[in-house]
Amino acid sequence: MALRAVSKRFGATQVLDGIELGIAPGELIVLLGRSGCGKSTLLRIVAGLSEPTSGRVEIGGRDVTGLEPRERDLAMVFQSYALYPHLDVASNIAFPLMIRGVAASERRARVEEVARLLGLEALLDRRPAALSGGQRQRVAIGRALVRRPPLYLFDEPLSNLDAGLRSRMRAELRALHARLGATMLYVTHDQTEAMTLADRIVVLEAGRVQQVAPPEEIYRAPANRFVAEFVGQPPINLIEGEVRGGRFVARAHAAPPLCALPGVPDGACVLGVRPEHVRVEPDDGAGALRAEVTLAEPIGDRTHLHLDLGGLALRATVGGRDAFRYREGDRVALGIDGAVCHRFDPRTGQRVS
Amino acid sequence: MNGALLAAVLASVTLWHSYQGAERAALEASIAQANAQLAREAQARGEAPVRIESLAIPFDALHRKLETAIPRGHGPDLFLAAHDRLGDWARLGLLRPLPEAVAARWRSRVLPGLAEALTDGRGRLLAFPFTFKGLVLYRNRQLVRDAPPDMAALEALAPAMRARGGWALGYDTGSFFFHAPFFLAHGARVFAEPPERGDPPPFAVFDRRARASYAYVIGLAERGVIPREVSSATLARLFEAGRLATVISGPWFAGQIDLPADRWAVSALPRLRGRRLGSFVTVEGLFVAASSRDVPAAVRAAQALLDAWRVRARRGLQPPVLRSAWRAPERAALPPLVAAQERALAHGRVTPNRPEMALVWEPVGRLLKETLWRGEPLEPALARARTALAIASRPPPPARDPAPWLVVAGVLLLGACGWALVRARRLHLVDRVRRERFPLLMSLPAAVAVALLVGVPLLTGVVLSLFAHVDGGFRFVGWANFVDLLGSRSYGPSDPLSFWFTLGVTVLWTAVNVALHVTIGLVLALALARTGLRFGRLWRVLLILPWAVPNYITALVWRGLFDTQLGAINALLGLAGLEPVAWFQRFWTAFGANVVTNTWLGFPFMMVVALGALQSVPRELEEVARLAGANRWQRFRHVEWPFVRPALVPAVLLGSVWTFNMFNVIYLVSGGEPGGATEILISEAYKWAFERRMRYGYAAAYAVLIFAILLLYGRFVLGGRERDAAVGPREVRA
Ligand SMILES: Nc1ncnc2c1ncn2[C@@H]1O[C@H](COP(=O)(O)OP(=O)(O)OP(=O)(O)O)[C@@H](O)[C@H]1O
Ligand SMILES: [Mg+2]
Repeated sequence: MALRAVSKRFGATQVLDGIELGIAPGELIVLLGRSGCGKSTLLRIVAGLSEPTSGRVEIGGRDVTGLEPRERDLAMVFQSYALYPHLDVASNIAFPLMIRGVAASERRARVEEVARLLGLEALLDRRPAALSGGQRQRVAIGRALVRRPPLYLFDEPLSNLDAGLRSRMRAELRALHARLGATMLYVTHDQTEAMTLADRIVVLEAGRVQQVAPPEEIYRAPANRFVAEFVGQPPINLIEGEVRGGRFVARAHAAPPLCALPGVPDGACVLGVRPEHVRVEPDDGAGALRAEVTLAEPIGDRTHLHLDLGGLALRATVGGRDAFRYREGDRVALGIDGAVCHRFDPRTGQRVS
Repeated sequence: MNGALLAAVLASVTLWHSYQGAERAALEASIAQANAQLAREAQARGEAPVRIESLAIPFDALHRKLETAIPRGHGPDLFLAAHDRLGDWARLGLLRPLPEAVAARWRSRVLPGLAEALTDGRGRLLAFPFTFKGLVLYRNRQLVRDAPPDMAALEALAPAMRARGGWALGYDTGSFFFHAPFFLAHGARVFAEPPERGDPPPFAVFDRRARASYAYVIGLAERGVIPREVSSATLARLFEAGRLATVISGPWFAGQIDLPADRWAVSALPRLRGRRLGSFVTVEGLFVAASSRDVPAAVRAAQALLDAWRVRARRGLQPPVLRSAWRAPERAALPPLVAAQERALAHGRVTPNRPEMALVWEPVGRLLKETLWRGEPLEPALARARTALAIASRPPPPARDPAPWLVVAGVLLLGACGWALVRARRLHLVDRVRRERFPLLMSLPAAVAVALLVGVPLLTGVVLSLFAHVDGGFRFVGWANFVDLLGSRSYGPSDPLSFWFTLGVTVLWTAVNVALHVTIGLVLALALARTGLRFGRLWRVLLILPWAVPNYITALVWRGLFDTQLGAINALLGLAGLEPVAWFQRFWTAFGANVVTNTWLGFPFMMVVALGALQSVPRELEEVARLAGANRWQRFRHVEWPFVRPALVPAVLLGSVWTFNMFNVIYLVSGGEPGGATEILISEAYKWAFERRMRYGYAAAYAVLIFAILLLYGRFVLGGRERDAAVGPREVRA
């Protein structure tokens, strides 16, 4: 499947702007982006529910732009579930099969199989009105899975599930993907979901593709400031400053250089430091970088620390034995390893290697 | 000054009438003359003058106003009205018979026949003859230069007229009133003997001589002298179009012709075998109301007004009643339309005003339509008409003792009260009322309005259905009306006038209409709901338009379109090389015309309801179906219909009730033709009440049965809906 220079405008609003995307057969691609960035719009264009303003959509090497959805042979889970209020769960799941005239016995077998997969066996004769949000979402997934098309489109299918169920469903989807070998295009704004599921992640912002890469690369080598900031929790520290003599000096901060960047030419630069890469130690009075903890947010195995480094706000994550070690008001010593930091061009925001 | 003014006010004589246009202007001019005359007379006698003050009241309202105002003492001194309700008014005590001396003088002064029409059974003259209306012959001067002297001359015209797609003579062939000239010319009479009071009237409208008159006009139609089917509404149009050389009609026809004055003329009716045709003549009387406070003044004023006849004859074209007006010098000065009407009276007769006359119009009209319009053989049609007349003139059911009924009603009322008390106790109603006093108070006006506007008429109707209307009063008859109706006692179940036949037609009518309304409304709604439809708003407005036009106007338009001679539909058939269809002569075509009209009226409602429901279908649900590969029908069946259906159920219920009682369409389009077969229950009830001798009780029994049927139907439909609501729209099982 591929998108060639796909753009979409609604009146004066440019929602998608020259999207180029190629997907290999059997790949699981996750579209990641903020709310309102055009993910659903993109999915609807792929499905054929709306037409791109310009550009082409190819499925299986065939140009399908302008073809009816049914000629594209795909299944889609809608963000709003789109269940039929007058049909019970079983009939909702079986709906695509019924439309295609699949025999009743086969229909029943497939519905049962899907229901088992999604844990819906007990709900088969209920109406959507009598289901919780998460149950409805699972029915919507079931309706997509009941058919076996070569392409599935998921629009935030897990957004309403509790954390446990969500991770279980993620695993199920992964396994299903492996078993079916179908191509999947999966939309989410949840980076964990994106990271755990994706073969490759497409980061979308302002109608443009920011980066297309496997999850690890997205994390390790974000292509620009946006990707760096969007992926990673808590978000990366982006510090404006300059490199002077192989050392990075923050602009808003008169303190000593933050870290060594050997071999990097002088010049303005934005430094990206992930919170987990900020080393935090008790203040022994000897270190060059000394900060105060302004807020400690323990979340169990880790604690997010908000630090004040002489006027520069920094985020750090401590874990393991140090997880509950620091309190608000504690003074700590910091260490930053220049080798794991990201550098971005302050003007373009692009990564500088 | 003040005293004179007071005297003038006291001495004014009020006159109520319902004249309009030229007639009203002429009346007012003649009142001015009469007032001048009265003033001169008063001066001569040295008395205060009497003045006539007139008040015009719309025709429909005049009778009602007279009947309510006169008994309460605030009616007029004088009023002008046709002679046909004379008997009722005398019985209700609305009139003051003229003083014998005055009566004697006027009897000898007016044309023969007129005073008799205004005389009651005891020989008292109840009103001054004021003017009269008879039928005359209109001719198109381009087709017939001189007045045709006789029917033979008209017959001679027939071939030439046929060649131009027309006829030599036209009149409302389905009406007894317009058939009367031929009826009277054959020596036929409505009642066999001079009526004797109290006796049941021996009708003569179907005897040997009457039969000859029917056979005669059938012959005219067969020879193409007259069109078979023509209604009063289209006569003027056919006449203007030059398709009728002559027309028999009354003075009102002159106002309906849209032709230059030199293109048409009026003459007396022609002769038939040497005898001039006369017609039924309606006499206008000038009545002295019982509410008059100064009868001598009223009588004086009335006579002065009668003497001022010239302006009414010339400007109002009202024939004068005085013999002197018809003598040599005066006569020559009268307009032809006025003169011709005198001939109609001289050779015809005043329409009998016995109450039994009301029974005759419908059976004779039906006979004429069956034989002339539909070409059915005369003898069987005559037999049917005789039966119909016999049934219509059957005496009302005997009076029953209401005592047991009152006892039962009392027991039922007590029971209802007891039940209400028990319910109130169980629902803790007293507490609730106390707690919710304010909301209850707010809904009180609505409750009172409903009680008055719905409850009272309903109760009145139910009670009325147990009575029979006899000679202006009501007689308690118990079940008799229902027994007659449900037992098909008057008419066999297969007769178009029977309750069961009409019920069958009504149910068919409702089912066909509602099915068409829903289908067409739904199809159009589906088309309009499509996004991106060009001119979508415009279409929507256009399609709702039939609903916005008052339905009687639409009904009249369709009536015109279906007209046999002038209708656009037959014109189109003609262009397509097809024979014109006489739509109202056969049941299915007449029924079809009604259905077409009502479908036109009814589909927008269903369309609007369906459109609303369609717009509430979430877009994603459509999209899921599109993704699943559903075709248009599957999308409708599985996505749209489940949403539309619950909205349509109450709409269908409403639509059914409206259609079941769609009086306007039936009354105005087919009018029940042929022979009452396309009548529905409500229009049949109307006919019993207002066109067949005021059988109010019988009509009320119809209304009660209609109510019961609709109540049951409503329970049935809504019951189904409640079941639905419990489980949502009907399932489409996978
Ligand atoms: N029919 C439309 N007309 C105008 N603007 C639209 C229309 N549909 C979507 N948009 C706009 O396009 C943008 C992208 O919408 P889209 O639904 O694709 O967002 P999304 O990425 O799916 O967001 P979310 O994560 O909240 O679902 C939004 O700003 C939205 O307001
Ligand atoms: Mg979305």
